[in-house]
Amino acid sequence: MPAHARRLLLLAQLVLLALWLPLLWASDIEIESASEHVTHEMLMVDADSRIEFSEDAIKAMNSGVPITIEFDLRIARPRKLLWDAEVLSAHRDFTIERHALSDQFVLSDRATGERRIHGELGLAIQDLARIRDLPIAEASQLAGEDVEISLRLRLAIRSLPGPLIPIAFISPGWHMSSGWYRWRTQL
Amino acid sequence: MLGTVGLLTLSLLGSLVLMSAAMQNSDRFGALYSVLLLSNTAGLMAFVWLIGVNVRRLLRQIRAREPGARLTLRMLVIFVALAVLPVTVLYTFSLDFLRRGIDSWFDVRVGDALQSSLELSREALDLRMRELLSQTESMAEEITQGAPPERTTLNLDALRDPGSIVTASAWTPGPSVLDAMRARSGADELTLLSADGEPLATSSRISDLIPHLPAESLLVQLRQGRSYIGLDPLRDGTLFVRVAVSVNVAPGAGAKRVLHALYPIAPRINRLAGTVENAYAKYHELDYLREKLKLSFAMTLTMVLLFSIVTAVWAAFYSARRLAAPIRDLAIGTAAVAAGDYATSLPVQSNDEMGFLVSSFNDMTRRIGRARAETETQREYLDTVLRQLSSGVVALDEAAHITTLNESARRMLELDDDAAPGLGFIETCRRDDHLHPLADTLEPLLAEQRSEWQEQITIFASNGRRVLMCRGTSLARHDSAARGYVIVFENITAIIQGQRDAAWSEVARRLAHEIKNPLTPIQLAAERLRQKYLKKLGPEEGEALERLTSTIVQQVETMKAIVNTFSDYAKSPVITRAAVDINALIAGVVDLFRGGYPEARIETRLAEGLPPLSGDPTRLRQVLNNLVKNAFEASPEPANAHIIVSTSITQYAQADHVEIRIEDRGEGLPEPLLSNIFEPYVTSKAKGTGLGLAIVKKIVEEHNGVVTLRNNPEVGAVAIIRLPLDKEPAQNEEALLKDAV
Repeated sequence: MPAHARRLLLLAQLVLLALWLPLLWASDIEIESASEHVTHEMLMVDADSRIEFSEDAIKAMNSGVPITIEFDLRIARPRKLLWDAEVLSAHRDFTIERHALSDQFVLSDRATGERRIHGELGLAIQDLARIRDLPIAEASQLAGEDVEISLRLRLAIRSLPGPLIPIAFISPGWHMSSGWYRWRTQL
Repeated sequence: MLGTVGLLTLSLLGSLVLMSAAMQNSDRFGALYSVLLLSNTAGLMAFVWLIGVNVRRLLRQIRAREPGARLTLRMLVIFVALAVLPVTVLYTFSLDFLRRGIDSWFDVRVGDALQSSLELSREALDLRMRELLSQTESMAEEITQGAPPERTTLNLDALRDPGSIVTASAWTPGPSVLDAMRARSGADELTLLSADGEPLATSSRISDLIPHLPAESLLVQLRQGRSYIGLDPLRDGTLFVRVAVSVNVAPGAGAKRVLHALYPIAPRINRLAGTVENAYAKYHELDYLREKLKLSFAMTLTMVLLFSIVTAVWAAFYSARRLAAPIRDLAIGTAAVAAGDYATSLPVQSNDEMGFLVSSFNDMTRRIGRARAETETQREYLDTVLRQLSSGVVALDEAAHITTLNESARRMLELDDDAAPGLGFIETCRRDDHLHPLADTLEPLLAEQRSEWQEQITIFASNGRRVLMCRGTSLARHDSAARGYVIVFENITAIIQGQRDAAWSEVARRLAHEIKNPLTPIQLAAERLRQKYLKKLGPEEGEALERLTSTIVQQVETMKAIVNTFSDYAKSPVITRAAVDINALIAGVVDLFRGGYPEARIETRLAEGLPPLSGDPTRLRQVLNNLVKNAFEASPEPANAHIIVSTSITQYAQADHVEIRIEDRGEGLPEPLLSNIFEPYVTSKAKGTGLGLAIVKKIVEEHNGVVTLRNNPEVGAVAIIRLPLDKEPAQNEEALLKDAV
């Protein structure tokens, strides 16, 4: 490849990077604490988070657009010389949606279909931020393991209505992710 | 390259189609949207880069004035304009129609109607909800009145047992009470909760194991003393009326409790309300997404536009280059033909008019090549003929510039190698001194533009005087009034000299014959007269007779000598060439005269290292004898004469010559005689025959030399002989010296 072509390519990459950089750093979700416990032979996770939706997202939810937050959880067995061995990976989607007729906000677990109704959006968000007894796996599967648990919350842009996806994709206000919250424990 | 671009185009097209599909069905393609957007952007950038590279290459070609570059640019501009303008217009109108189309979906009346429908639904349900609230409060009051004062605890394990009724402790209404209440009220689920939301007892017609518990916010509202009633969409979207009221307990009986009830809504109302809810929600979602929808469509449309434009521009580049390629080849081929390369053959890549043009060009170059080859053959033939001609031929154009110059002309005129076609012939002649007479003669003749002329011109070339017969003929061209000339030179020096020599020889021979014949009888008669009458006469008469007859005999002898000289002059020259050392020859001659004139001062200034020349030593000695003798005779007192004999090598007419100068200190020659002093019977001496210098000239010319005689500026005269040094003898110096020995 000629030198000028390489320079052009590098310039294009820099421009792209400059465009996407703010998106990579955009984060309005923070997992403040998380822990696991075993109840009724089930490994469950509790997590307390701070979720601050952007004005665009708030406006969208108030306008009836369902917003989905993804819970990604990984359990890995640390190894000394090699990378960690993944033991378990779980994924849960929670959706907040306005119900116009009742003028309430419905927080639903997409996996179980469980719904919790809130009179205000803020209450629904608070409910979402406070996760309790989220079942992950049967405790017997992981008994005695020294593991590292990683948890991440992020807004699922792909779950937005089609016309909103391009906007969300290039807008920092829609790129919400907590980053991985990790802790080690003996199961 | 074309394959790569085609693949890139197809990929981009596919990506755009997927992107469009993602716009319409986010469930299927939503996850790919970002990848598609990135890939489309990258593809477009790749195209832009390709176009940039092509533009840069084209600009470089235009700057370098490469054939076809400007044509490519012109075609490119036309193609791009033809492609981009309609697409841009279409894009603008499509965008406008799109915006208008999307806006038309959102009629104010539709929005108002939906809002009214929603309000109507709420109003319709509101009355029923108020009745249910009142009914639930009545049940709460009923529980309050029937509750024991002590607090009991709920057996939670019992809640997990299968069955629709959980029985609480003794104070709580028994299953039959809650069931009766639920049956009486028509509720689907009736649950008694503690103040902090823990279920104490429940009766449910819904098959859930765990009752539908109220949210924390609802409990907070109840703690504030406000009952709750609302519509709740449960798991399958079915609407229920959720009612929660506080249950007062007797003082000292513990905290308040909460009666939570879920009431069903009639299926028809539920369905209608769900329809209104869905329509309203969808409409408002779309209303919110209206601008986003426009923007997304605009983005996709812009992507399509950019894709169309970059593809069109690249296609324009490709087409322009492809169309311009044969024209560029033709331009290059034409330039090659103009430069003399007739072997140029262009590839015929199509069967259209352009292919026909290229074929015609190839045919033309083949014909020109053949014609040129024929012309070249003819020219070579002409050159060969001209080269073989003994006559010099010079062809000139209308500006008297040399177009053809054969070797004979070059040799005859002794032109150097610089004289070449293209140069002015007159100017070329003027560069050499010996050709000035030729230039002086030809210049007016050429200026007059006469159709034919003939002149005899004498030049002094390296080997002496050269008489040239020049014949000029104009070369009229059929396509121009301008005329060139062809000049043919004939060296007639030998012919003229031969004719003159023959004439003089004939004169001399006749003179010798006519005079010599009567001389002997005259001499004999005089001697007989003396013998016969000397004894008969007296001393005085005898002495007179003796004197007179002696005079006759003496004069007859003198005349015989003259006649013999004539005979010598008339003899055909027979030169026996050998390598002659001129200095040695001069030294011999000078020594001879020194013996005869011991008082005379004969000064020799002989050049050292003089190469031998090819000549007849006897005849050259005769020349030197004659000239030195003349020098002595020209001196006022021959016995005390001062003679200078010198030799040197000089350059004359671009050739080496031996120059011999013999100077005297006499009175010099009369000016009138100088011009023809070498002609026979021309002499300044009273007793001269007038043949001495003629013989000298004859011998020198036999040696291809030149002899001149002129007066010195101060005193006396000087005879100058220039004899050419032949290269061949000089190169074979040793051989010639051996021959001389």
